[in-house]
Amino acid sequence: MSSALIVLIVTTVLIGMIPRAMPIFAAAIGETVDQAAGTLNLGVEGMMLMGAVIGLLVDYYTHNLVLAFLAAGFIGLAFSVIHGIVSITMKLDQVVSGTALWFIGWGISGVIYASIFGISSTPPTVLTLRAVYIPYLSSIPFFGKFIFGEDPMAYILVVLLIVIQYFLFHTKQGLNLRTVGNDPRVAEIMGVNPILYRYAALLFGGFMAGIGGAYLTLVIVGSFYFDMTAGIGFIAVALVYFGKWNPWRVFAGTLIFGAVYVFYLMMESIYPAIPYDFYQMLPYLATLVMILVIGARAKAPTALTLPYIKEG
Amino acid sequence: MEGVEPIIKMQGIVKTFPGVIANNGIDFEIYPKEIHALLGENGAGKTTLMNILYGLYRADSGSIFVDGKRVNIRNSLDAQKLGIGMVHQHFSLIPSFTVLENITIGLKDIRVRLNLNQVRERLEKVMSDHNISVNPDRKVEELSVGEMQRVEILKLLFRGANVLILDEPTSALTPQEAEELFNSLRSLVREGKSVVIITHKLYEVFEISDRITVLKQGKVTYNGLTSRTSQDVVVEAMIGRGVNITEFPRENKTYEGEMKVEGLSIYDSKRVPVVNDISFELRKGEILGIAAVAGNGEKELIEAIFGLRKITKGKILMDNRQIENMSIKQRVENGLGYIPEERLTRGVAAGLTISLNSVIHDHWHEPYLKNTVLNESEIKKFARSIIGKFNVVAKSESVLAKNLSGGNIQKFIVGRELLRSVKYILAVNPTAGLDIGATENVRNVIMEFRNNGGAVLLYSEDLDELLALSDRIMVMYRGRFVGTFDRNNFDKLKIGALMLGKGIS
Amino acid sequence: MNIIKPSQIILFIVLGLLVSSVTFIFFKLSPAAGLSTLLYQGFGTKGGITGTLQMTIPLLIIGVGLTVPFTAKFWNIGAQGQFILGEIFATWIGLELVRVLPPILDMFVAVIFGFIGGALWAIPPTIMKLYRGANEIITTLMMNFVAVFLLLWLVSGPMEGAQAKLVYAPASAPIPPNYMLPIIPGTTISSGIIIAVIIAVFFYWFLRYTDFGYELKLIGQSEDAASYSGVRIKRNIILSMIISGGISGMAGMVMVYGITQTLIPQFFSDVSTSFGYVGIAVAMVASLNPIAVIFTSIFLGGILNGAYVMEAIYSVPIDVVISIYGIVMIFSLIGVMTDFGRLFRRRKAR
Repeated sequence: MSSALIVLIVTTVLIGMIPRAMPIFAAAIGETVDQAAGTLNLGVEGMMLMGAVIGLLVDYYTHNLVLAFLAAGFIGLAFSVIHGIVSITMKLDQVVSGTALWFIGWGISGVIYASIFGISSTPPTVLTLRAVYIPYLSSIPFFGKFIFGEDPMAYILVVLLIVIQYFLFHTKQGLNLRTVGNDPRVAEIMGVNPILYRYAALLFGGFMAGIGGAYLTLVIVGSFYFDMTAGIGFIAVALVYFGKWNPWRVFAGTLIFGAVYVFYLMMESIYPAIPYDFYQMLPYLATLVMILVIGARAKAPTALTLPYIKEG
Repeated sequence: MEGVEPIIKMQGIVKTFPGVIANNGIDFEIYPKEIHALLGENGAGKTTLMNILYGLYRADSGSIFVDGKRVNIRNSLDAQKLGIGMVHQHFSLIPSFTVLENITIGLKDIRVRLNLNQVRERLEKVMSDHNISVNPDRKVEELSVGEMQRVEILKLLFRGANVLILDEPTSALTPQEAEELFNSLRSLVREGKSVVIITHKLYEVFEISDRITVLKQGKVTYNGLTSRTSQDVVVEAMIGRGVNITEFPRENKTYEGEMKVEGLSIYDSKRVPVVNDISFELRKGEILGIAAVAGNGEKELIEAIFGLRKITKGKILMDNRQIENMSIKQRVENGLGYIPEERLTRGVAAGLTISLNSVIHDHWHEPYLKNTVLNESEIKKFARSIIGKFNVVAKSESVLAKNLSGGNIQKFIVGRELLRSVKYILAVNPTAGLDIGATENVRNVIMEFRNNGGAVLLYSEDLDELLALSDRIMVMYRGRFVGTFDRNNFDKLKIGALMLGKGIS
Repeated sequence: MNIIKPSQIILFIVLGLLVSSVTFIFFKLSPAAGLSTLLYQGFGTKGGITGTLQMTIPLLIIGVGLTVPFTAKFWNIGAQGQFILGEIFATWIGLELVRVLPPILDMFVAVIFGFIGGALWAIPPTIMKLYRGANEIITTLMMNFVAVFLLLWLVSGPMEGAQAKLVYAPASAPIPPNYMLPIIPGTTISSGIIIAVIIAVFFYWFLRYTDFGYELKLIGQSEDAASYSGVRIKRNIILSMIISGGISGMAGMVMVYGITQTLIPQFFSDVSTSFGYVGIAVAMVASLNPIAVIFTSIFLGGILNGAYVMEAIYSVPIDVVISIYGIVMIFSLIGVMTDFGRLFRRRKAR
């Protein structure tokens, strides 16, 4: 391969990875907060699908993207309320309830799409987010136009990253939340309400999952198809482990995944000797490798997945 | 100090839990500038009483007065506002957080922005005011136990505590750390604070306290100034003169075979010996009782003999076979049984039927398993015999274990272990929480086992039970055996004193 | 495996159906009309029942296979991937050996290879969980995706059949008709169903009456009690996953040899081939009791079948079925865990 080709590949990957990474990141940042508080939300995949379809729907009818994203977030939030009731209040198995919500989201999202747009009709065209160019910065040669010319949602997500990082590590509420995730009993003794924090974390996680799904339909693809998330939600959960519950590391992880996605799309045309299908396996293999590498040595918030039972 | 009003007065406190009266009309007063020792056997009600004061439990009845005014403490926040703080035996610290972060958790006067530097400044002032210091930026998991305790105390002082309650503060400290703690406490008291220490160590009581309250079975049995009493008075108040209530028929034949433990030591993750060079013999046809206040290594010793815990040094022999490297399954097959304290979570699988639970140790051999097939009728037969012989109240052997009452689960577990073909049984608190009838039943059954040649290593928090059942008693204190008594020279007060570390500083 | 009454299972399914029938409104169909059509099409007509029973075959086998690790609370979400690998292995060896072996032997070898394929696919995530603490849900799921793409590559490449190449629809060469599993005379249903029921009965016996089944229950109930008993937890879990993966792999063999005849790609969007995922619902709703799995697989399979017809008639998309499964799962979770089924029984008794 000539060096020009390599440059081309690298550039394309760098540019393309950001939008591809964003949906994963949205879900992952939500899950980060969830897990920091000690809850495991496995229904992310279903919530993302719901967010995707609802976002598309609202966009189609109102042509208002802000409303669409908000609606997507709220449907994700609604789902996580159910998860909360079942796993926090009823103290039932978080794994099973998360999986069930995944199925429900998976099914209902397909139903909603088909019922509104029909099964075999051509996908509707909706308003998608267009690039917003940051003045000055986008004039940087080569990269400027691309990295600083992203859709607004991407900017919002990056800002959110900073906000969440600050929240978790520099605010009192963030400290309290992390305490709940480590040892809810200690939290209780120190006057912090574990149930409140866990619910709040779940709601935020669900909202972000919905936003992540909407990002897929409203920014990247422009339409919806059944099971379009293809495991992204679960990859997001795995990334949170990988990032050791630290937002910046999680963000880096999502960028890597975004790069992997772009990479395989490209490699198919450049290096057709390796079958396309193998490239498609990459994200999932990468997740497996990632999990293998960090394994159990990651410092989990100690109370992850354990329901909190009061006594006395 | 006569003529001074107590800053805290607890009056007529009653607290019951299902099946047990933890506090039965207790009056307790804390005076300013005093160290008040709260003593009692396990289950006497000391921690419960203090948890009520700290707002973690609600008393069923009784009142609490602070500075003469009646107060209602609903949670630990209320207690903190009143200047009350408590350090539990298991620290309320998050190991992966720094000292500073731990101090900051739940602080009410911060709004949103975590200005750790401000907290740090205040902390440094607190540290210098009271002459207690720790490096605020170190992670708690890197600290020694003594330092962790200092963090806990600093947490309380930071929040303006005037009354500090410490639950078994020296249980995990080295002697030097304990001395440092005492010095800090003395200086805190000089500044005007009050301290309550819950302890079971005689030497501590007399070394540091100004006032003593002794609880026994939920009631106050002694209250007075330390300077006006003696160790013997205190021990008697804790343990009671008590005569052995029941004499069990005892057959004294000799049998072949024994269990020998030699030089057993167990070190914890910080290389502190929890069990320290223990050696003993348990002969067949004998009940060997371990007398100890909870937390002195007795449970770890028994768990290690069964195989649930790794030992650091030493040998365990059963009928001349070394078992310390054997799996639990092998030990069980060689005739070892265990009646654990944790009934619902370890002794049975709560969600399985009684019938299935009856073969928890025996499901890999005949007659319960033949050619890899479980023989349900044999299993049911065994389960029924346990139910029948031990009066377990259950509709049938197909009832789920979790649907039995606590006492019945225990009867079932005891019955199962005794009815299996075991030679040696380890038992931890076998009659805890059982009613009189069930208790008698279990004790009779244990005696019968012993009379027929079985051997029992018994740890019970109930000293009377130990005295009634055992042929010999060994006293364990801080992981070591500090005294042995044969049945004909059982002396309750002497045993009690040794349990409390009399003669040991 | 819990002691569960058929009435409880029906209760959960009914509740699930009722709640999800609300979605029919989206299609200008009243919930009652939608539900009744669904059930009629799935169970009421001869064609419906036939289709249902065909669907039941892989569901039943996979569902039974899942009860084994689920009993030990090891969440094998990878049945779909194990199923696919079983299909691959069985088809590959089966086609190779057609030249040399008579049908019976060929099928026999194919079954074994199907088992091996599924079992192999199940092992890596299990090892990762036991020795690295990696969450088995995520790892088994990832293996599913890898399997899908592996299959896609194989049937459009190395294993592509001659006929398939002509029509640009990726698929393997077909199993010769006389090498297929026989059809039950008088019907169009594959005898695979008999195999499936035999497997269910076997595993009911296995979980209930062998020491291995007993130990799995102990592990699932309480790890403390399991260690008190002296059970070797790791060994048991690995074995249970080998069994589960292997059985799902066998279901793959039965699928190709009994129903589809060729190896075809699985698409995510295709609910009708997502037996690995539906199998999860089948097993959980049956409270991990293999005999009950027979019923849940028929019910849930019938709902799926009925939904296909609904799609043709009313344009209600097939996806509604997955949401039904999810809702039914939640009800059965709540019901079993909180013994809410007991409430139902008690009320009936009065």
